[in-house]
Amino acid sequence: MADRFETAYVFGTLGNLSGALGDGWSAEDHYAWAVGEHSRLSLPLPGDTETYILRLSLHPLVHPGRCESQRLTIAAGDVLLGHFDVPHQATVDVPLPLALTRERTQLDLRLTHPDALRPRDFKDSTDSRWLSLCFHSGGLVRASDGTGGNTPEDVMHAVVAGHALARQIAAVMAQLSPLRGRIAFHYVSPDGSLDAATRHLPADALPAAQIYWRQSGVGTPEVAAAINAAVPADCDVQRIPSPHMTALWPLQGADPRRIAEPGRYGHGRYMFSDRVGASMANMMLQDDVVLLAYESMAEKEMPDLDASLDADVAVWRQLDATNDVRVADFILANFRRQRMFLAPPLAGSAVLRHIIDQLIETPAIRAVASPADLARELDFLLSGYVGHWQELPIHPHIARHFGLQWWQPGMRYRWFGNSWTFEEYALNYIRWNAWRP
Amino acid sequence: MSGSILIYANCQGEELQTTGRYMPALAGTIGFKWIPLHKITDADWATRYDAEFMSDVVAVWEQVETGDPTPHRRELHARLPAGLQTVRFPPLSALFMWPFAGNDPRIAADPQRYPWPDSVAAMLALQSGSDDEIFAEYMKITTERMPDLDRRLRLDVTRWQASDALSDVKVADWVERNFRETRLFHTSGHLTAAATDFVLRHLLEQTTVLRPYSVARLKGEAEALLRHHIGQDFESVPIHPLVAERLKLRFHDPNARYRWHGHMWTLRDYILHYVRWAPYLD
Repeated sequence: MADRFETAYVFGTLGNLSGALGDGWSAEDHYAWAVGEHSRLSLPLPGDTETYILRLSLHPLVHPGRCESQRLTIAAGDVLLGHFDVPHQATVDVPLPLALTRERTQLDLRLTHPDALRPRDFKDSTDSRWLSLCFHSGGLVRASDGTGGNTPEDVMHAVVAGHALARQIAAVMAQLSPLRGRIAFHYVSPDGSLDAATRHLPADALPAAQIYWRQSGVGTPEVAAAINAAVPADCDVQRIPSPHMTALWPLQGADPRRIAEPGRYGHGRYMFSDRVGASMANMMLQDDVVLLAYESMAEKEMPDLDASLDADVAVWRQLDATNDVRVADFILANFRRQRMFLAPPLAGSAVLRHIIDQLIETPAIRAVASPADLARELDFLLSGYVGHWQELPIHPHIARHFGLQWWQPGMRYRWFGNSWTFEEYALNYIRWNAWRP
Repeated sequence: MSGSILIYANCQGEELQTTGRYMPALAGTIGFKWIPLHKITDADWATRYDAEFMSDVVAVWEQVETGDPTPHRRELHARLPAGLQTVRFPPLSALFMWPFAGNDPRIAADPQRYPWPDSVAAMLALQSGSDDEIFAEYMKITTERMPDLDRRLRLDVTRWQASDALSDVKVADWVERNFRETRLFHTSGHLTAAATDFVLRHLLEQTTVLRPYSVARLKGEAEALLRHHIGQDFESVPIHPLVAERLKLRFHDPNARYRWHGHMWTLRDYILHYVRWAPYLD
């Protein structure tokens, strides 16, 4: 965790110290050179009773054979605060005695830098300023930072096991400041072997876990079972469903072209198949004709979409019945208004948030942080969150049938590094075009 | 013909490498290797980039740098077999579009979180207030302190021309002609696919060992792969509306959302997260 700056100083004419620079400075847009032998700096202070360290980021003017480093002394009146020899870009810490800063809003500093050089004396330059050190930025850091807080023994372990959804949940929880230092969230993939899955964990993470969230229906059954067995019996366990949605992409089916292409497309060139697109693979016609033919065939092949949705809902309700976290009603109530899935197996951020809202009701979490604080942090952390880099385009007929309010004609979808419309995706798929990530 | 084209470049070289790897005409014959000049260490020459690594290199795409050659560049030159064609190309960068890219004291302690500093947002880091108040203050200060962008542009053009002078591929005129119409940069050093496509097409044209593959076909494949590609947008820093106005950036959409790792943020979202040095998700 980085030290927290209590005050940020930015040198240069575009910075916030222009009024604080006294004699002996030459300011440019983003930095200020200390010129000559002395400079004066009226450092703004917070006016409180904390003890601070002044941290400055700077670089020296050096030239091999002429000057290998720049000396810098910082003093406040008669009090010597720091002396440095600076051979390259550096961050220097200057402890400020409390007597000089307590309840004061300004500290007058005298900087001494006796090794200034003139660029014109050693390089092809007309710059005749006597330059010593270039100051970039700085700040005040509380001297007490880095001490206190919880010891590792105080930190509660939470294990989140599963695939992409579980990884996202663990990543989100780990960023919530009310829980930081109190609960350590560990992601575990239930694949391969227990040893491989847990190699990166602290030794006591599983046996001492007090929270265990597991995404059901994913991973190697033996590994999942081994993780289940490794957490304490009195651990707070929540089972998380792995919802899919097929009604928005009902044309999935076999495509013989989909084979692994090692080094380029490990899961096949297009990992979500389209049986109508596959059936047109050998159609050597112009793009617009191919698209028209695709539209026509897709409409003919389109299954009963309401029945597809009913089937999805039935699966979600089954998941609700066998898990602790519920999703069916939420998805059904909101999928027209918000984007719930980016691809059949990829839940969007709204579903993620809905799941997390239920998980943070866990008593161990409620004991550490208030729901209102967590909700506020989650709002900010998840703002604009998309997560995945794959979005499977939705056939316009399907979007219109369901009245998807977030969909619009000509919408672009993220496909790894690409941005494609439905039509561009369909053509690429039909022609099995190469694409780059 | 088979072998590898060696790319010695910053992260822009990775874009060339990835695009090259997915070009159907070259699959199985010409590969692409990349030495990231900004990350290489002394030890890498003995381990990653040893004689075996170099053994199948049939041409080199070398990104130039102004100034004296670095020790790593000298090492590269010493290891290349005599007679190998080297096509030199410049790095692309655009400091002028992000004029407040200055200093932020938080970066020294936490360099990865927001690596594209904004000195005005840094100054607001400790200011209390609502989101609306902080963003309004940011817009007020940046509007008041907006530097002369034409001067900034001229400085960049001078840099581009200096790199062009060392290169076989020239970019300065093209960037200057196109940056208003087409977005070419996601950050001051990260490219959109349009910029990568321009450089790649010229490299393909000038590389002798690729002649048997039909340069026209290769350029067509590169164009197809990059036509709807977004480029290096895993970190895309929003453009200030006043910058867009002053520079007459016709591609600019004031409501645009920019990718930042796992998020799509507006300028306001980005600035508020940056000011607060807020965590985000991948």
